[in-house]
Amino acid sequence: MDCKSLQELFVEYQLGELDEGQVDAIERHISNGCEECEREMSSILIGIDLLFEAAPSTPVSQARLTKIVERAKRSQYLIDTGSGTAVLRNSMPQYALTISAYVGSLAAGLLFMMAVSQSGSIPISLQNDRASSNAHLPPSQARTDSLDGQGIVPSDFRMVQPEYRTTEFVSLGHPPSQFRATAVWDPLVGEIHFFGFQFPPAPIDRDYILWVEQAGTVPIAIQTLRSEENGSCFFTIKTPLVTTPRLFVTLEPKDAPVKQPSDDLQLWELQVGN
Amino acid sequence: MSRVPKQELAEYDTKELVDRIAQREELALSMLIEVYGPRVLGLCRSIVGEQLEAESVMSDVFLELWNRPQSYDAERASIATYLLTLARSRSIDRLRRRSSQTVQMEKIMSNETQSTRHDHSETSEAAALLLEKRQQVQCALLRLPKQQRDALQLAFFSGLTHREVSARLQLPLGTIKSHIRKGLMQLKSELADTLELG
Repeated sequence: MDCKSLQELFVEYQLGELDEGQVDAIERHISNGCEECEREMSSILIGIDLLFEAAPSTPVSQARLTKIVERAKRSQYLIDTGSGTAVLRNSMPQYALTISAYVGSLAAGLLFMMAVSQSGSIPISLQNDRASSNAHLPPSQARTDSLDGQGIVPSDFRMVQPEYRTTEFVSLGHPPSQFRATAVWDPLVGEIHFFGFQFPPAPIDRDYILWVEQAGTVPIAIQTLRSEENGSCFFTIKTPLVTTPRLFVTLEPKDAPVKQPSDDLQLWELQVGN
Repeated sequence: MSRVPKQELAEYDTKELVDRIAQREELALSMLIEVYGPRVLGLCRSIVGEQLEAESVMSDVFLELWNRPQSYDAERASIATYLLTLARSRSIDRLRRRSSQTVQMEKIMSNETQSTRHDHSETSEAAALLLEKRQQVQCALLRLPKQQRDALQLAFFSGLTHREVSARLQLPLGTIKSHIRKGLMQLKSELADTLELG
């Protein structure tokens, strides 16, 4: 493309609305030293900067601000599996050792987070390992396997409130077994935290689409997520009031040919809550 | 949690603030929300229409920065542009998830008027510091030709793609792109020197 054609795309580039090919073309062109386009891009950016000064404004309540910071504090533990792992990995029960150390660390990090944020004394239902074995099954078989979160309760994890439910699912994906995730449902604030690892962690920056459906019919969340350099990703889905504790979760690479949940793809039944 | 001290807000340095967020400093996150939260929330609300959902999107925006501070490149854009672009994008994602998109789009348009009602209701000291700049930009926007102004507002504050703006205003896509580009350039040429940008 010539400069003029590229420049017509600069606003959409800044708004993140172009496809990968167009983004590459623009970035390659500018990095090859086109000063005119670089100046144009810079001017567009300044214009956008100014325009956003006039964006509509609504006061943020102190309660909302506090809630965001509280969530940030919790997510600090969620993404920092280092300390959680160090403390809890030795306590992981035998079944957890059969899943990848990466995912084990993740679950430990989650539990550590919950343990430090809650002061209750009732055990949590912990995920079992059936998901791992599902990775070897054809999708039609895997779909029927309910991950009910009623696995072994290790004695070391008795500091967590019973309202939390965690379970684990593994994407069969394209190719199989590439993505593992843990879900924690927090009914007190109506959130499901999904916590995923791409393992092995390649390719970098791969986009996935995740669907969460209530009772397999009503989509309550569809989200694109991107694995980071170390293969991890973290996201939280706010759920509406769930009338059934059973959710169906589908996860597939964004470049997969089918762009909606399908029985032919992995579709996991995930039981959260009581 | 107590409010951020006014003096600290007045002296904030956004780059330093983002660095402190990267170091997991909660006070820095609070300060950033104090300063940019109203506009992020206002934009989210303008696009998704509902206060609670807008607040949820706003939370996601700030938590995304908190969890992935490396995604912000200070060389590439100001923190305001980064946050508001992210807010716009996340709001559009949220909106598109809804099945009744057409109905919601109608809501967006009617909410524009409602949103402007809040334009001067910010109470935080930091927002007051930005008020003058904001008013200058709003005046410059009003001076733009109507079609340019409408195209900019629909594309940036209502979350429509260029193609959707084209359909809404019943103008060719090329014309819409040109209006948006010219509008941004006009804002820059009118205000960049005054506001010490670029």
